[in-house]
Amino acid sequence: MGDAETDDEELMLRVQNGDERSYEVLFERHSRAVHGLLRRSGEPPERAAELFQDTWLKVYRGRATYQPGQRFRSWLFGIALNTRRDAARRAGRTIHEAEEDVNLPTLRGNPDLKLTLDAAIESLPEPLREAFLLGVVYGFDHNELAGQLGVSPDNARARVSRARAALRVKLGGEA
Amino acid sequence: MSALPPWLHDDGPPMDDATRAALGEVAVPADLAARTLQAVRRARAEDAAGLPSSAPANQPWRVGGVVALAGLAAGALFAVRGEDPVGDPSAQVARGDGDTAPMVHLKLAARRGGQLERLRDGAPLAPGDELMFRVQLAADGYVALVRADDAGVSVLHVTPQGAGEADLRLGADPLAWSVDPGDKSGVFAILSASEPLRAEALRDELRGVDLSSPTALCRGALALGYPCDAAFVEVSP
Repeated sequence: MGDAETDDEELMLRVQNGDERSYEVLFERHSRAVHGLLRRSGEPPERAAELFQDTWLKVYRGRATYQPGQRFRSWLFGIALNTRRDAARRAGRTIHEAEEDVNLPTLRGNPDLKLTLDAAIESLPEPLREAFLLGVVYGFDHNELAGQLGVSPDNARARVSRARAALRVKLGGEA
Repeated sequence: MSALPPWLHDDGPPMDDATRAALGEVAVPADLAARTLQAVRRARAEDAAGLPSSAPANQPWRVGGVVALAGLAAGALFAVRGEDPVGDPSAQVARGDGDTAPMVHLKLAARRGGQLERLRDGAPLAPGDELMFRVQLAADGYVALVRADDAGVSVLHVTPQGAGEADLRLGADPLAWSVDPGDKSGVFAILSASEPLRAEALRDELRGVDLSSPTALCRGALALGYPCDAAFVEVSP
């Protein structure tokens, strides 16, 4: 089976066995999403670039911690999120855990939905933005999302629901 | 409102792939991609250079020091009074992961000729140098400092550890490992657990683990349920 048809998990097992090419295939497949996650998390481009590089270096250095059967993309995003959180902690920044403040201006009337969504997502409080991105945009299920966010599956589901509600308000619809 | 996309509703369909890509993916600048892959190739080369099979065949680590809890071999492990030595050295090798135990991260620093410096992958220590340890833990828990070489595995130190980043300490003072003539290269690892660790029991568990490299050791530790981070420390004669 060629690399293009090989699933992520098999490629990661090959990486564990020293296959450089498999690492590059995984990089090619997922680098845009990891970069998107870091940029969407509110990091400026230069900072996002540093975190991006650190993330992929940790994928290599932490390859032994990948467990067979684990979804690669979930493991990868966990590394990216932890890298960002660790960097914020070292820099003395706080990633806020407050969840309820969604009382921000709506963006009614913008004809370009993507631009509107970009702005609306960016304006979400961090926990809701992270939950929306991971749960809706990147498609993690509630159990994976709970692991990524360090909360219970019910809490993860609730965050996604609140994020959606906040976005509906911001986009001019009903809550 | 009907103009809103259906995936904005809790009972709506999943987001379509085109919107996922538009919202979730950002092109990676070519120079960033190149730098990243180059950094990984460099790390791979450093790993290859630092494997025990390519390390000098030194004599066994000399037993000494004050807290060799359950080891076969234990160099001189001691507390450094009045110093906060490790600072913020760069990360070393693998990051731990686990279902219940907190993730753990090990950083190393070396004091050479009175000067503290970050210990980079593959940088050898020499007799007279001192190795110091900084641990980053994702949640309150327990950690064990482990050393392995071809003579076996030693559990050097076990301690409760709070969440966050801190030097390993003996009492109020940072813990250090002194390198003595005849000491040999080996792997240092930090393992974490959510329950108290017992050095003897942990050493017995680790005896069945492949200790040939940081990667192998951490893979084995993780299989036993201990998140792990490890680094190979080379010692020059």
